Amino acid sequence: MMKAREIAQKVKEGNMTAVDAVKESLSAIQKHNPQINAFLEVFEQEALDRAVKIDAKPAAQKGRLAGVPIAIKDNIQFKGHIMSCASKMLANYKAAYNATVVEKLLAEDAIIIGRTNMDEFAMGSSNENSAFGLAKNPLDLERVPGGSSGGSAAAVAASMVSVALGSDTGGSVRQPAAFCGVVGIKPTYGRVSRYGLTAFASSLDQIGLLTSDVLDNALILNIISGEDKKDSTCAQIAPFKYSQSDYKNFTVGVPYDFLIDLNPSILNAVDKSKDKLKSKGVKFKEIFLPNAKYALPCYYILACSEASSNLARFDGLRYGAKAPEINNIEEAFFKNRSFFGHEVKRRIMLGTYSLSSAHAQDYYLKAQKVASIIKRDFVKVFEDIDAILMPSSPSTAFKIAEKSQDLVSLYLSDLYTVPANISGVPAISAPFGRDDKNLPIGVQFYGNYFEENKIYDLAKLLED
Amino acid sequence: MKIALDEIKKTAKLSKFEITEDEAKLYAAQLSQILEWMGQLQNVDTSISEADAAFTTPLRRDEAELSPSAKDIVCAFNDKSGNLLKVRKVL
Repeated sequence: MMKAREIAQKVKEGNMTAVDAVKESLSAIQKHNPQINAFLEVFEQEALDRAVKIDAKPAAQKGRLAGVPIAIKDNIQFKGHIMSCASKMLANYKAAYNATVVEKLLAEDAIIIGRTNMDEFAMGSSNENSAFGLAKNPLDLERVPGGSSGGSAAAVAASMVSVALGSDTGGSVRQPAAFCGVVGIKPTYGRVSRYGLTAFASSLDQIGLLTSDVLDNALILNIISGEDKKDSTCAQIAPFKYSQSDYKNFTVGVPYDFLIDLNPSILNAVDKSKDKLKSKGVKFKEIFLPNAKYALPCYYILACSEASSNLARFDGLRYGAKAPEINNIEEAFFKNRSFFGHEVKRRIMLGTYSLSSAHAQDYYLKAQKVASIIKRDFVKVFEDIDAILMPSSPSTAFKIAEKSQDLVSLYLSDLYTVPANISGVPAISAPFGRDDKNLPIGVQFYGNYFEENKIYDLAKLLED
Repeated sequence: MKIALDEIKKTAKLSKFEITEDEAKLYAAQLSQILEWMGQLQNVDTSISEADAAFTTPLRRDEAELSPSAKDIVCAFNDKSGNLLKVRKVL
């Protein structure tokens, strides 16, 4: 699959048609999707019709993403299309409006080609919680693609599309990017509008991007970022614009105190990426993040608490699945909410428990205080350095069902991604090296607030 | 941290979930395991930390704007006739 920027340029210059770009993508989807299940739905005819219209435009009127097929995670609204959040609860729910990110992509003549598989309501790290069958890792069909944006990562890794949107509440873009060997960014909280993204944990959710390389990622972030009055948490700053900076002035820190007991092949990848950056002139400094290890339990309390509130709206009374026989309103709530899967129920109950009057002090409030300490640690560390280097995940892609019985072990997949959501800083996962099973390893750069440019620079240095 | 079966049933009720006896036992075991793991947060000294105010929400001017049209919202309903939406009897 060509890069998004190459497709757009060729379509604009008339060296390729948008119809051909769509056909190429559709043909890859037809070939691979039956095994991988990355897409829950493909908008085949609509994509082709739209491509014809884009081809008919004069060159000067073609947008910056003319003819680029883009996949969207199934928790982002695309008007008139089903958005199920990979849940039986919303299996037939049709979006009544476009998410801001979708509006921005369409305004640049991108083509939304389908909606991708995910863990139900974005809750999971393996895609095994999808109500419509899990997506598989294109590099090894016996393994998970990661989650929750596993379908988006698999679609890019299998060259079905060059760009896919995901959402990242605790690592849901970066961990699957690492497992599938693609580039994934969670921008700074507030960089991209969340309007039209189904809320899981509103203070942590951020729309992110999965692409086959760094430059495509930076280009699309430019298009989807920027102020949006429909999302009051969206930062009132100009859209992100990438320009290569003088990375030789960068100082990067590796928090080795947070990497204790790390799998040797992953630690080796971190060290090798450090060596590569050093050889290009990047400086390194020792840093400590003593409280980062608490980010994960802290995250699960806060995210589940917010989810218990956000998902209270799914009662089946207005939209969503409805139980067949109901006699009164109480019964309606209980019966309609039986359409949620186990993980979603578990997390809602965890959140309800953490927020209940008897336990809020020990769980929710304690987690809020710990989150404040973690945030302050990051603010302080970034006074002296430009970026932090660490792994994206403690393991490479694991086998299907390998961790589904041990929830804590599954949750630990997000150990290195969650601190970015707790603190709100941007983080990018870039593929670097392989383990002894030849599975891709992802290394991650954290940047200071709104300094995506620097982490793109560093990720690009590893790519070159 | 072990959660008693009664507490799980109460939490399920507050969450508006119907759960069977077997599910209650399963969730009690799973949530106990997770809460025990979360218990490590008690090791963090938070005596000098206050929970940050969640957000300072920037406000915009309160101006009338076009919302999605009724037609768009109606499209979310499966069972309809014109602008009439069929909802279920709930009382």
